[in-house]
Amino acid sequence: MNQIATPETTARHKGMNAGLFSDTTREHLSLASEEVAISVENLDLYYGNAKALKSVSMNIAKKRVTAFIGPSGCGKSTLLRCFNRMNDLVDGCRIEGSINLHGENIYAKGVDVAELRRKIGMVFQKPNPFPKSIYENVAYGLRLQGVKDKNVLDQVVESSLRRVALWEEVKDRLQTNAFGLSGGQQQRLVIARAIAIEPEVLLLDEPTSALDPISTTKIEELVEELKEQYTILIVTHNMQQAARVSDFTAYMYLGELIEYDDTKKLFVSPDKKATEDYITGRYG
Amino acid sequence: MKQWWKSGSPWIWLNGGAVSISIIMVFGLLALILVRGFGHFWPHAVISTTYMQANGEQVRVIGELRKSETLTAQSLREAGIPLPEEQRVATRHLLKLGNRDVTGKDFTYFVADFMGDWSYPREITVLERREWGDFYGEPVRLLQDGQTVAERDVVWGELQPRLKRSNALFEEIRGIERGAIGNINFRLERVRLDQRKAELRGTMTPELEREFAQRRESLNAEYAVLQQRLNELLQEVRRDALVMRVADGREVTIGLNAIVNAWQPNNMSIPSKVVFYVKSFYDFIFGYPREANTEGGIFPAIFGTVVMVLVMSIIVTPFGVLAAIYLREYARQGPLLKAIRISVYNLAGVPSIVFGVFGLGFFVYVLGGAIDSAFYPEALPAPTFGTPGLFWASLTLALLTLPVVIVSTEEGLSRIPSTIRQGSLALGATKGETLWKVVVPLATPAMMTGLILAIARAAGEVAPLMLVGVVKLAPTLPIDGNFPFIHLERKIMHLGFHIYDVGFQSPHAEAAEALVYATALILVLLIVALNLTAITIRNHLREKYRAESD
Amino acid sequence: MSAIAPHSAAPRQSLLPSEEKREKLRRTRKFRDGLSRYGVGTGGLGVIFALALIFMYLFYETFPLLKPVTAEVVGSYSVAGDEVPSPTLHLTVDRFEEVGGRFSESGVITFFDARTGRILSRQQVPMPEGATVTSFGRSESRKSLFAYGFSDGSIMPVKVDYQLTYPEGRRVITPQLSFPLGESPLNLGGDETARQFAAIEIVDGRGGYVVAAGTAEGDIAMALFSTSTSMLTGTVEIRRQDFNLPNLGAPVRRLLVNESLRDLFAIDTSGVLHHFDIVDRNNPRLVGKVDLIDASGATVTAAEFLVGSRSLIVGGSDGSVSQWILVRDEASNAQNLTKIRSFRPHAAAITFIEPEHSRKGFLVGDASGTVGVHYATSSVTLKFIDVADAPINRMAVSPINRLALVESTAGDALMMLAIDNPHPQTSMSGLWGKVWYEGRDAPAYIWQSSSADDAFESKLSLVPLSIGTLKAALFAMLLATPLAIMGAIYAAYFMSAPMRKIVKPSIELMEALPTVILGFLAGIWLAPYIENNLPILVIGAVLIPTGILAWGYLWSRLPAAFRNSVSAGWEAAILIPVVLLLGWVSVSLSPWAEVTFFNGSMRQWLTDIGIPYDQRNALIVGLAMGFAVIPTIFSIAEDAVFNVPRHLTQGSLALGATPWQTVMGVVLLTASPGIFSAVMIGFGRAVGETMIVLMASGNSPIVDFSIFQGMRTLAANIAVELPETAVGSTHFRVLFLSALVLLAFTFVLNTAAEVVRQRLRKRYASL
Repeated sequence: MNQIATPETTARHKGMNAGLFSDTTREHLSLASEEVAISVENLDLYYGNAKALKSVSMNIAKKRVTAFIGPSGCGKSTLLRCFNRMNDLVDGCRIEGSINLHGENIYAKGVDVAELRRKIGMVFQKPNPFPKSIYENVAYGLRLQGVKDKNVLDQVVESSLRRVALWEEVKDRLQTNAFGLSGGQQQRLVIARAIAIEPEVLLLDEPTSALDPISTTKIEELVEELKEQYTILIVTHNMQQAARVSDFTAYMYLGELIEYDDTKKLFVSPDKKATEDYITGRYG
Repeated sequence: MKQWWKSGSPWIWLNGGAVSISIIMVFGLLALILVRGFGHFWPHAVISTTYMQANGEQVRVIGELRKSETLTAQSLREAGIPLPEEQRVATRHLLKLGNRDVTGKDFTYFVADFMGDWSYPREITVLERREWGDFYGEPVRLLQDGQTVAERDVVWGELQPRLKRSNALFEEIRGIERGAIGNINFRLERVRLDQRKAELRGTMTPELEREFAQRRESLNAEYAVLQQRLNELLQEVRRDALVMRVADGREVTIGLNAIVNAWQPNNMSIPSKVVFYVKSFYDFIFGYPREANTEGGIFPAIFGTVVMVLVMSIIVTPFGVLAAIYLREYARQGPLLKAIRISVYNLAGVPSIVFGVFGLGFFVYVLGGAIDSAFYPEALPAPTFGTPGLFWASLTLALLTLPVVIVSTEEGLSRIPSTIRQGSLALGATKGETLWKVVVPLATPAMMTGLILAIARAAGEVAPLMLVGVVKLAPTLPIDGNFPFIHLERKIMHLGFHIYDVGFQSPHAEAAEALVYATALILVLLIVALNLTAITIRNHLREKYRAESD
Repeated sequence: MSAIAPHSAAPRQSLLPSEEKREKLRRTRKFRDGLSRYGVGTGGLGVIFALALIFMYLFYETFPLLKPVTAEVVGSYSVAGDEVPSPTLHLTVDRFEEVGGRFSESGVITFFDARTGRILSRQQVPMPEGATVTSFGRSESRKSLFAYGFSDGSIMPVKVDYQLTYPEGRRVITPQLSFPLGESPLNLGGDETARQFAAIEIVDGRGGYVVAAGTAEGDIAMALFSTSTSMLTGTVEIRRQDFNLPNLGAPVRRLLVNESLRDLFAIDTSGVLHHFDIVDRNNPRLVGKVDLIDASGATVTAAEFLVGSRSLIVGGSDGSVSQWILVRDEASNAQNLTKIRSFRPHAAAITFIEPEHSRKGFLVGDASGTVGVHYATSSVTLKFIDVADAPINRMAVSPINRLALVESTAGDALMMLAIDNPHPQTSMSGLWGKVWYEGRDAPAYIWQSSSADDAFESKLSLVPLSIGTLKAALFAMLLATPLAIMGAIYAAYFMSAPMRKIVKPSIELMEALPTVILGFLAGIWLAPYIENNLPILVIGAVLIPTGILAWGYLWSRLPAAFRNSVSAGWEAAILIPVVLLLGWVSVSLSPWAEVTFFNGSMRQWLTDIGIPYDQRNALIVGLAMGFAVIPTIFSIAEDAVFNVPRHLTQGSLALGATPWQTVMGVVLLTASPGIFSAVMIGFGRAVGETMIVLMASGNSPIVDFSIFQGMRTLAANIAVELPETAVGSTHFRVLFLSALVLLAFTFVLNTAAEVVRQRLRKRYASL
């Protein structure tokens, strides 16, 4: 954007952003007073020779929703994938620094990645149910954990589907292929699948970008609901969504963490000019 | 016109013509095989006519019309046929005269100009014989132990039950020869090998020697009983004989034991012809070949092909799938892997005969030789696995079709969206669990396609098999009732090789031609069916994944 | 909010198995994961290794062809001589290389252990009282037949046999003497005057034994002994005829009679060979005289027949070694002895020539003590070995050509020369060059690998096979390339989608048809049909394209309403009946054309103008193999054309180009690498196809590009000959070499094509 921000336009935008928080009762949260679930320390990430994350350090609050925003290619998805080590799958991806889950470095030697991923569930941009029945989709993770008892499976499948408000819609066709569900239903199924194995953290990678507005709303409500039990990290393109669902927001740009603060604070009165430019739409 | 030319339209038409010609070639070829192959079983009418020979003599001719063709008179004149100089074209008919043993040649060309009127006498009888091919003539009388029991018109009615009896006896004889005696021979050979093994190991004791002698004796005793029964049956089956009059009026006596089937094609109604047709087709598929493969059925060839392809599938599927999974899921992607992949794919384009050469040299001589000296020293110097056989044929074809399975499986794996893999991994599954519980089940149809294509390719492949295990006539089937039931070391017969052998190496090429067309038909049907299945599965899959990835 | 998850309010209790249990499970899961990783890795790498093994193994089998010859002296021993030491006349070794024999001038034959020199037995040849041995002759080594000439002019033929017995399971070889022409010495020549012979020749040839002997005066006497065994008594009856030949006018040095008993070569001391035709034995005829040594002052010092006695190896005092065979002169129809090749000369005069037993190789000893290993067919000198400091006196090579015994004039010690020379024939020039074979009039490229006869000279030129392969592939491509590429352009660019859905599987089906069926139809149905209806091809090639064009023009003139009833992209379907009709017209016109233009038979007409016609020929192979190759080229080319990005063509069309101009200008240009690789892959397939060539060509390995003659390809040759060749023989390895050539050729071709295609795909992606 070549346009220079004048005080007037900035003010107008600020007012607009303030309007996002119609819920005026919302109070400012302070990171310092939150219980830390994950702490990131000086994280550098390289794809081959290219540095994709530059010395990111942050603490993620427990049982809060933390949103990552920023322009495409800013590294927010990359960062999210660091939390459950999905980046391990990418050839030539290398990490320096550390991420600690409850004080333990998940990149330490001898960490069981499979167990880590059980603890840190992930939901992707596009719904990716397995081409199996709805029931089997949810039971998949449980079976991996050695659950064989049919009663337990039934119970967990039901409760998981209820928690994502899908139970009523699918209870009569649990044995049908999950591909038969609509996009929004599929995404909720995928969330049910993730929470069935009792994770501590949920990573949501633009979970609504492939969905229609109604489904989006449902997912957002679900996030609100789930944060009572899980630490949630969400990457989103949609700033309104970040504003609506998150407690904390991190703005990233070109692999750097520019600003990280309480959502309301960040949206209404960001400290940094770059953040402000982005959230007021001045950034392309 | 000029404008039409300039528009490029002529080129489009010509290009379209290329497609039309290709399509006509494919379907024309299929039609040719279908017509000739299915036509083989139909009881064709038998013509009776006269023919004026070069010396002006008239002879009577009885035979089936095989084909008619119009040639230039010049070429016939060059062949020594005295056509008038001014005649430009002439038609000639190829008749199957049968009676190979009586007249010496069973197929003859007759120039239409010298033929008399054609008639179709009802009493003309065709005999399918166990030897010497078909016989054409008119039945005169039926003999039992040399005494006439029926003459002229009643012969036909009397013939059928007697033929049924002799065929039943013949079946019994063959059953004893193939089954019981074959079994005894097999066990005798086993005793010999056991004895030799004991000698080689130095564990031979007098008791053991006695035991072997005892076993041999009891088998010989069994054999004597069977032999006696066989002699009785042979006596029985020679009881009846049929006297036939051939075209030139001579009478020929044929024992009923030499006759497989008899029919009067000019006297058959359409429904009875249909019944006959179905029965001949059945006999062709399930019968054993006779007379250097030029008569009878092709059951051993079908059986050999199927068993070989099955063994091949058992070998090629796991290895092809593993290799594909390795290439796609585990190996480090990079230029080296790319080179390996291209190389593996390109092996599909390497001439099949090269695989045959490799199979013969490495599998048969190197591996087979090693197996023989390690496990079958008692049979040496006669090779067990050190000679071409079923297992080596299957292994060679497995190698040959490996790229087909790998390519197809890899394609299937690559079509599975990576999000599905990530979903599984994100749920805490290990790579192996993701692979075997999610990815591989999804890729199964692609593997099936690959396997079917591999089978279709293997079923039609002949060149390498000529080196590694296929023979024109295998004495025994690769699967039978003798332990260990499936004999991987045995040589097999094969449909494709059968076509090559009977069509090109047989002494009675003309007589065999119809049979070769029928064999080709069976092979084509098999391969077309397999390929259509594979194409259908693949298209179905493509549709499915296309819908998903959109 | 309350609509969602009303149950979540209650604190949940974990339903997962306990931490310890899961910890344990994690270990098994990890193990299984590792198992899967290594299992798949092993399997995958194993498969890749197995495929690589094909290359390695074929190379391994062909490698011995390239191995250089080794020959070295592995030991020496002295064989105790007779009571009175006497010079060696001759040496032999048996085929197991266990028993050696030394023939002494005293008439004693000493048999000894060929490894140690221990004496096994000593046998005395019957000799006339008081006589001494003055000359010695031997037949070809395979026959093991010898003749002694004594000072009283008599001659004693002797045969040595090696009896094999297996007492107690061990092989024992017992040498035995036998006397096929009687146990007493015989006299040659019609007159009974005693003559001392300077040279003796004995041959066991077609029609009996011939013994010939020449004197220092130039007289030559000859006798033919025909033996017959009486059916009743089993006694052998010998009939004898004696002949005299004209005087040479010079001392006879060497006499040679070939196995066919048709020619006698007498070499005089000046090195001139007198060639006698002895077919009419009562009237031997001098055919000609040949000076065997070019260099002035030099003379012939040794001359021997190679196995089969069809070529003569001549060694001179100047060290030259040359090969001579009888070549028929076209003009005079006479057989002239002709020098066909010279070998690398030795540094000193040649003293002895020992031919090998089952092939056309020979050892040459010279006066400097060097032994040369030569091979005739490939005209190579494989090795020179310095064996002794003194001239080589006698040599014997074993029937399996692996051991030679060498004696020099320096002493009576025998040296064992171990020779490893399994494949002397496969030099570069032997496989790929023109070679002058025995019995031929000129050097030629010939593939003729085997015969039952030991003395057969195998002709292993890969040239006829390679030319046959290229010829077959070329004619197939001639048919397939235009049809497939034109079809592909149409199918990818003009054809309507529903028609594609029918056409593409049909073409795939075409690819899947077993080639044995195509070959069978080509051989049994097409070949005779074309032979009788040759004009069809000419008429069809003219009529069908013009007919299609005419139809296209006619179509454009049809009323628009009618034309529009068929949507665009169905031209090919409309054309099917048209092409069928044109084909039928071609068929019906064929006899008429034969009568009108070709005097009734086009085949005969071709033969008359000097074009020989085989029923199964390159034309038939081209048609059948073209059919097999069309789908390969079609599908790859179609793929390349179809995937040309649409915006390119749309751009061109938007600029006002007609669809055809777009195809020529844009589509083909972009897709040309893909089409090129399609043609390459098609060519690779045609080169390696076996069954079609086997069944539809005459399988005759000729060097000829005529479309009306057959050929034999590398692949078909392997299929025909490999099952019948001896494992490990030169022929076996040469067949492996041809398989390796095929493999490498198609592999390189396919890889190149694949790389081109991948590049193209990348380019499409970036366009």
